[in-house]
Amino acid sequence: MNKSYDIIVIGGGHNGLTTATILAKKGMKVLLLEKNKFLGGIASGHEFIPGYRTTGLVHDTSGVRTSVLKQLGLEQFGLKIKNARPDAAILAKDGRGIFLPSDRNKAIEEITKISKDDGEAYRDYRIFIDEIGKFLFPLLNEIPPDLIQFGTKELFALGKKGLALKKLGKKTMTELLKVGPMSVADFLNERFETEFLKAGLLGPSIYASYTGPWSSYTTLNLLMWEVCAREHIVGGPQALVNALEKAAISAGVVIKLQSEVSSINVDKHGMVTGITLKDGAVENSPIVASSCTPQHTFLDLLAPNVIDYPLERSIQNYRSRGTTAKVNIALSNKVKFKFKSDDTIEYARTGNSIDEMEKAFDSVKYRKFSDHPILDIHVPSVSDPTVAPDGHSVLSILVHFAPYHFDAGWNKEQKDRLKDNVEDMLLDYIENSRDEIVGCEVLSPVDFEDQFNLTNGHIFHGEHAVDQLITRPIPYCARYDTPIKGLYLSGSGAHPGGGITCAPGFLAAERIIKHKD
Amino acid sequence: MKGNYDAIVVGGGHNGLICAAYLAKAGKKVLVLEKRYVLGGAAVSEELYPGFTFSVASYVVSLFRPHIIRELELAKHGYEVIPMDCSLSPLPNGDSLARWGDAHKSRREISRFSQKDAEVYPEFSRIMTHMGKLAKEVIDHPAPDINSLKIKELANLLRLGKAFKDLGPDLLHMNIKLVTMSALDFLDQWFESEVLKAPMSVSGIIGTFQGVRSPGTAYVLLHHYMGQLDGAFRSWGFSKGGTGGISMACANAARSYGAEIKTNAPVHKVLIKNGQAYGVVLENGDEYTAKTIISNLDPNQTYLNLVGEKNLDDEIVKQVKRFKFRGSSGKVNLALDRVPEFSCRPGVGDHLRGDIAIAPSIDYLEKAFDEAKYGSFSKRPYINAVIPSLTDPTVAPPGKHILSCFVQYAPYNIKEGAENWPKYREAFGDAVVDTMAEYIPGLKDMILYRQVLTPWDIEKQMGLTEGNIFQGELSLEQLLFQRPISGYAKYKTSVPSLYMCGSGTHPGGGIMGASGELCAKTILQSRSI
Repeated sequence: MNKSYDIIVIGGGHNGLTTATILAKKGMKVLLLEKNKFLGGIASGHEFIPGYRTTGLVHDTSGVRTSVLKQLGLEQFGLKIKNARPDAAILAKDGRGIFLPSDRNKAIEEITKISKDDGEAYRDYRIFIDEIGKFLFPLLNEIPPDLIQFGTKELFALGKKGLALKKLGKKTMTELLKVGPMSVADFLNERFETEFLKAGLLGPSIYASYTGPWSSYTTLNLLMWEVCAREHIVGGPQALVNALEKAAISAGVVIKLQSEVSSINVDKHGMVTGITLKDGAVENSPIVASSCTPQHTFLDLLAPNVIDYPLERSIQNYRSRGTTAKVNIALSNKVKFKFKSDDTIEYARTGNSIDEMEKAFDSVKYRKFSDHPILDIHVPSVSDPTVAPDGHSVLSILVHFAPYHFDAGWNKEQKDRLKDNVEDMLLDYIENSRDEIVGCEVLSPVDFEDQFNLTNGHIFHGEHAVDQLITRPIPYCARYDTPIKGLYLSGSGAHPGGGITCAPGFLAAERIIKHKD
Repeated sequence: MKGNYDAIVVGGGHNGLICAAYLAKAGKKVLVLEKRYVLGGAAVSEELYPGFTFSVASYVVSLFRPHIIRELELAKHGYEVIPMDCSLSPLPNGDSLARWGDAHKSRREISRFSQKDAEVYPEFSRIMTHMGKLAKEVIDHPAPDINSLKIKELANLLRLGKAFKDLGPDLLHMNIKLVTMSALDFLDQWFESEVLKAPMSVSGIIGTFQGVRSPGTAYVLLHHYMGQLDGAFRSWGFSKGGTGGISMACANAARSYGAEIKTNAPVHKVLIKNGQAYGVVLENGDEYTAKTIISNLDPNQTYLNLVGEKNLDDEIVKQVKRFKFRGSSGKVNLALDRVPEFSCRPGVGDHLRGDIAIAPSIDYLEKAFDEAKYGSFSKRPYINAVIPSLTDPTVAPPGKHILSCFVQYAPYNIKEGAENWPKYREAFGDAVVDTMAEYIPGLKDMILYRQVLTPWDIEKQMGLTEGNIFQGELSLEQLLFQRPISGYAKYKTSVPSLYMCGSGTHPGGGIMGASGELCAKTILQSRSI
């Protein structure tokens, strides 16, 4: 075979860049192909109105794995990491709010102002998170156990996990097993009394999911987010992408933009030989790592005769129903939240009450978007004034729930309706007036799919449902390699899942290295 | 003070009676105390209207453990179950889907809605039956204790581990899916037609405060394939003489082995001395003592009422209080002056001799659930109706019939407060009759008598906390080694000599008899009596 590259990485999102760079640093000849004119995928920011930029389509970087960033040497390429989750505000419609500094003692102080009991409860809650983090965090940072070739070695590995769980101590272990399968509503109702605090805390457990706060197992999602929210990136995801790009180039990765792959090529022995681009060009390589969604990888990029029927069916059954839309707002002033008079709040989330959030989810079941959506707000202009003209602001808002499967269809009229909804909601929480809104951009799940090949517009490349974790996306591909020899999954559709983490990209690279050796 | 019993069973539900029967059979001196005039708990038959014997609460049998029938010789004592052959789902447009015991017949019916679904249906049934065998492994043994490192417990875990491993990776993953997915998501993997999926998905929500899209509901789908009547999987049936017939058979068996059974004997408290249970006191002040006390009541009633908070550790009280009940269903029993014929399939045929599910679409079921989530009963509920009098003529006078409707959702905690349920009882009954009347022309004119049971009534009448028919939600954190609470999931309670044998213990609700049997065997093995 005419071997041009050691490996081809499909997709220049943050995971694809991570895989490519790690492997290039190991001395491999790497080609990275990106469909768009720019790198970063949904981690990239863009100018949505002349003079106003976002710093990422998704904006939560609190789960980024610093251990990976260190191995990539990103700090030497200008990346600034803060060793704490970002300060955040929880907003209530009545103008109240709680400021949650990353420093937990300060956060407890803030919560205590609203409710003394909740302050105490938050302390216990964070201690519980610390405890279970000892078990959960390592699990989310290593190649998952093998459940296919289930032999003595694997049993031993599982036994070790069991022991790690036992090491938490009887009380913590029992509590983890008790609350993990619970609904996050039950979990928080057992602990806290202030309704909008509960609503604010639970947000991350249902973002991009097909569940509401009353759904079972949502506590597990909350705990997973909590144990991973340890750091964040100054300048948002785009800053990460910039550093990743420099690191990739410096490591020798060949990056080709506007190069959409149309097929992954497989020879008659079922071995990967390379890819073909949309324009017909062929690139050869014995290894291909796809950071696209599992469905795009298996069902679009591979010829139908390459994968067998059970595999095809499992991939079709992999659930990734997008439920998130994005609204970017340009504002001709600083953003002033009603509950706090200064203008330094960069992250805020709404919810108001558990039932209101559940109702926001209900709409998805009837294939509508929510009239009272949950807003996950980032104001990038607070820490980076260059994203907007002097004194102006950008609000980057992830809107839950707005389903991909939408009866009315995502046309302009519906997008305008969503925009009006979000603006109305937003003005409940901020002092700014509607006149200060310079402009708005609405991105629907269908837009995500069109622009980034995200199947059903799902921002995590598939729901974080229990059966789609650990054995993510499906048992036969849960350890990054696939039944097709030479083909690896390296995107958010692989363990440990979506969000700006760099973890799947890194672990896929590790797996590839292990196989090479 | 009357004493010298080896064991006193508080509550004469089917599990209590089975527990008593096993202990008596082993030669123990056993007393069963039932608060009501009639035995059976929720598996009870009552003549509420002259000539009509209603299965007041629980109405079909499927999971009753076959070895219990053999070991207690229940057939000899009157146990007789007549299989149901059909599952009918009428649709608002006048069409309907009937699924039959005969797979070919079912496929023909399903193919009218989807050829693809008809093709997949047998494969689905095959795999589910296979999975059901594993679930059987779980329900026929006490829950493994993950906190213990005893050899016996490890062997127990290994046995389970091996059973899972033997499934192979595909079925292992399916098992994970069954435990964690929603019933609907699970079915979506196989089928496309809502006409099929809606009535199939409801087995996942019966008795729970969950919707068909709620994660964790897929597991209960398995129950449908575990029903084991005379060794045949996946068959459900009517008990001769109503479900109370099963309880009576269990009671007869218990008596035949020498157990003493008293009705109209409500227990007030369990007597405790030096932290140890030694007897019970009735509401009338009578006291009975025994070496072992066994409660057939739910965890809430057992710990907080019979024992009382003052006799318990704070941690136990806390764990008991977080155990979730949240009854979600009600029952409307109708005595009719003729056969209720359905407009979708006029006439009286075998299609009426099974269960009839009012679950015409997914959105219908979800709307019913959403109403309940925010504190109201569903105006158009999911109904599982049966006409037992067509199969078992002994339950109604000649020519007359019983239409028994299991209804969901009727949340215990309505927004007006549960104690206001009596005010809404008839409105709830009307909603059910109105719904049924959409499918049964002239239904309202046929009704001779109507009994409406709200969750409030179920709580008051049968002592089931918050009207939960399974003595506690069947959600994962309340199953296996966590049912009812971690550390006390093997029929023992935190009070020495006090055991539990109801559905609030592993393996949970339904007329299975497993809790009663496993409790008795645990006690006998411990040689404490």
